[in-house]
Amino acid sequence: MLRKYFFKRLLLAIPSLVIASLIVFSLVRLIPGDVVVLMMEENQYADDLEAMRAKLGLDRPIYVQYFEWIGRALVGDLGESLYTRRPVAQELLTRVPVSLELGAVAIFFAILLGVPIGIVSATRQDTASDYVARGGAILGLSVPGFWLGTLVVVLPAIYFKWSPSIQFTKLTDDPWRHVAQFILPGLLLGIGSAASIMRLTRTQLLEVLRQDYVRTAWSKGMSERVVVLKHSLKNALIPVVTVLGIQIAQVLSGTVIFESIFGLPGMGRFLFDAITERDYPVIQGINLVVVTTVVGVNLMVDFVYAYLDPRIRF
Amino acid sequence: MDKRHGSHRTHLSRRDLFKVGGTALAAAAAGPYVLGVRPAGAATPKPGGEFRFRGYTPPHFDPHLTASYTTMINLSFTHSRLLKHKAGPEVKPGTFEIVGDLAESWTQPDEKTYVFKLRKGVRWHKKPPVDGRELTAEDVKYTFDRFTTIKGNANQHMMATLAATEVVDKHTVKFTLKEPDAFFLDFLANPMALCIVAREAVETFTDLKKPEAVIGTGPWMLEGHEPKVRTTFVRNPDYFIKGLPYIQRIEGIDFNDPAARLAAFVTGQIDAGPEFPGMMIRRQDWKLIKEQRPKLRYVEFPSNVMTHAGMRTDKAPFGDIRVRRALSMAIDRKAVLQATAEGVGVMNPPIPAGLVSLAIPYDQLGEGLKWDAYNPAEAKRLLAEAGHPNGFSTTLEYATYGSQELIDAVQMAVKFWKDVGVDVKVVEKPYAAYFATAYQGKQDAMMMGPQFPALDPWNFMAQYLPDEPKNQSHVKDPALADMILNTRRIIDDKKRQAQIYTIQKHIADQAYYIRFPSGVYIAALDPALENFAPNLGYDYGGRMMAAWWNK
Repeated sequence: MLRKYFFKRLLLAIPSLVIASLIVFSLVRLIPGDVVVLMMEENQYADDLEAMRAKLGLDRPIYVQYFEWIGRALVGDLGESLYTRRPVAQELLTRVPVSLELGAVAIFFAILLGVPIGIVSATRQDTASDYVARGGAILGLSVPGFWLGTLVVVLPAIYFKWSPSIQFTKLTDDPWRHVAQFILPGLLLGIGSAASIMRLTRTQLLEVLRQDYVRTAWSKGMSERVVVLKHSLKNALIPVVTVLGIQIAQVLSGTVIFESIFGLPGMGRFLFDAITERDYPVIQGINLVVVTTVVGVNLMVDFVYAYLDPRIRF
Repeated sequence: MDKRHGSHRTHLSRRDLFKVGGTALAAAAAGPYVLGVRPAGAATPKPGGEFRFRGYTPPHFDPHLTASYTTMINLSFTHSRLLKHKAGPEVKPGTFEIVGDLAESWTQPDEKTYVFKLRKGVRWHKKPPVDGRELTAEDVKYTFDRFTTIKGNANQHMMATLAATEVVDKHTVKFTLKEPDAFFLDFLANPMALCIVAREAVETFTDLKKPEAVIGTGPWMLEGHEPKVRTTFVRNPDYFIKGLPYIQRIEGIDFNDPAARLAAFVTGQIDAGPEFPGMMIRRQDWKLIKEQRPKLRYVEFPSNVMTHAGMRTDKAPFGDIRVRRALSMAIDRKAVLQATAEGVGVMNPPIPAGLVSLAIPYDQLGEGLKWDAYNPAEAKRLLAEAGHPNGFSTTLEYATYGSQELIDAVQMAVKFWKDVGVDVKVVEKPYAAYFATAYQGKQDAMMMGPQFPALDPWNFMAQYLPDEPKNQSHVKDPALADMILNTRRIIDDKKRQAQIYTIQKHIADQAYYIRFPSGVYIAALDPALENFAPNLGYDYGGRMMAAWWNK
């Protein structure tokens, strides 16, 4: 039964990926102006316009272009970066880990802050700590990341003559510095998600805490810790896991800003630079990787549902 | 040594600067001399140390296959040219005296021939496949043949007059021109594109795009290149000027967030101002930076980036000189300067005032000066005289270039034109579309935007020639074209300069373009960096070559 559920979810992911790939493929072709002319004049990506069009595959019918591109992508060939002259897949191999590290740190902070504060807020409903937590969550949701990032970089520089290092350090060069450089951007990136998770955890937990079986648990004289953490939290977390799936997509898109501000050579910054440099194979490749990741993460979320609540079989 | 660009190009008094830029320049002009350039210290230069600056990731490293300044900045550390612009604390920003680089000396036997004697014992970097062999005249010939014949070289126009390059002997090379070209040496010294490359590198790597192909004879060798992270250079121990360079390692850190750049500079993570076009800071950050790093050295000099508005002079109503003059007189340039550059800037003659030894002093523009003066009443009168008593409607195409200053300038211009009855509808284009159309004169009526910041007069004058793609105003003025083409044939410095001045007066009088003022750059440098001065242009390596750390 469980296997059938997994298989069904897996099949449903395929049309999502196809539609996403069509959107990724079409969007760069809808940009106004003759981009090929510009790419040639600014960056001399090929010998002449015809060579440029051939390089991009624009000299063939659009459906041929799509099938060729998707066919190559399926075997891991995302084309060659016009700017760096290296295979996009190879570029991504060095950059995706940076973004994933940043995303993982962000999600770590989002869960670390969001779930416990949500629990405290729910179990201390309408107390000062609840108000502070809810106020903080609203603030976390409303403050734009780029503004917060800018403040965190500039203000310490002004008042304490300190700012995060602009030198990216590889894991192999200095493991501690490597990890340390992700803490601040990861924390900032995770704040928005933490706020969402906190609010949802609170709402869901409040609902669960009012269930009959929880009342029974209380009446049996169980401690608050056992009632909340053992009997209530697991059920309250199912919608939180759903939101977490969405948050991962948001975190990935947020890396564009934070990687630029903190000088991290990840996928987000690579995308930002590729847009600036009109490096279309890279733009397409990154978007394809991102949508595939998002679809994959949501697929995993579906699987986690089944684990958290064995009754789920839709 | 030929010093035809000698004294008159480098001599610049404060009075000159006042003349160039008018009143608005006064505050800025004081900068270099009040704040700035120190003579080389009496102390003995100390070798070693590292210089960290805001670097740029190039599209690739082949100087003959891109016009990108990002490539040229990197190659300025690793490659040599035949000639270069003199650098050092005694050089005033905006001046470009030509001195030998690989060329030990040169002569001009006749109007169309140049003979260069190369330095002996110049060795390529010790990297395969060239492996430190000696540079010869064959390398120079190979470079120029490749430059002039390779398909897709956007800078090929620089050598448009070159007919042949010949090897006379191992260390002598001869250039024969199709016609006299007084700007030939300017182009040879230009830090954009004309560095000497090795045949083996091209043949081994197919082209010079890859970092492995960065093999030159310059003061530093490419050590590492991580796209969008950093590019590092290490001292070339076999550099042909013994003892140079002093600085052991150069690190160009590529980071693109302005706030992060400011923070990094304030906290000393980089040694020079991080803003484009080189070691600058933004004026709005100056106060803060001075508070945070009070001992920094600052040098102010006018920018050579000039924004102008072009008009289709081949179409009504812009074919009428009265309309063009009226549109020019409608603009309050001082107000634009105040709004876009905190009032610190220069008024531009047709060659930007930043090129102080080439631009005609602004107050000597003659009749043309009248059309730059803000006079809406006279503008209205001229429009009425031209048959537009109620003004007219037109369009203006532009791209923002991501610059708030440019957006502000466009909006102010539209407002000023509206004040005299001319209703200008702004068509904002994505940069791609703008570059492919309006930048090449393919706009419907008007266009507005910054011009390429060249270091030579030819680039600025050539845009008035009928067949030039950058002739955005579609100027067809045979007398002017003759004068411009003639400047190439005038070898005498003074006579050519006089001709360039005459051309600028004529252009200003005809009001072919509406020129806007330029801001004044502020270069900021670590005070311990000795024997270094900033300048316009992308020759970072050339200027850094004799610098050293006094700490």
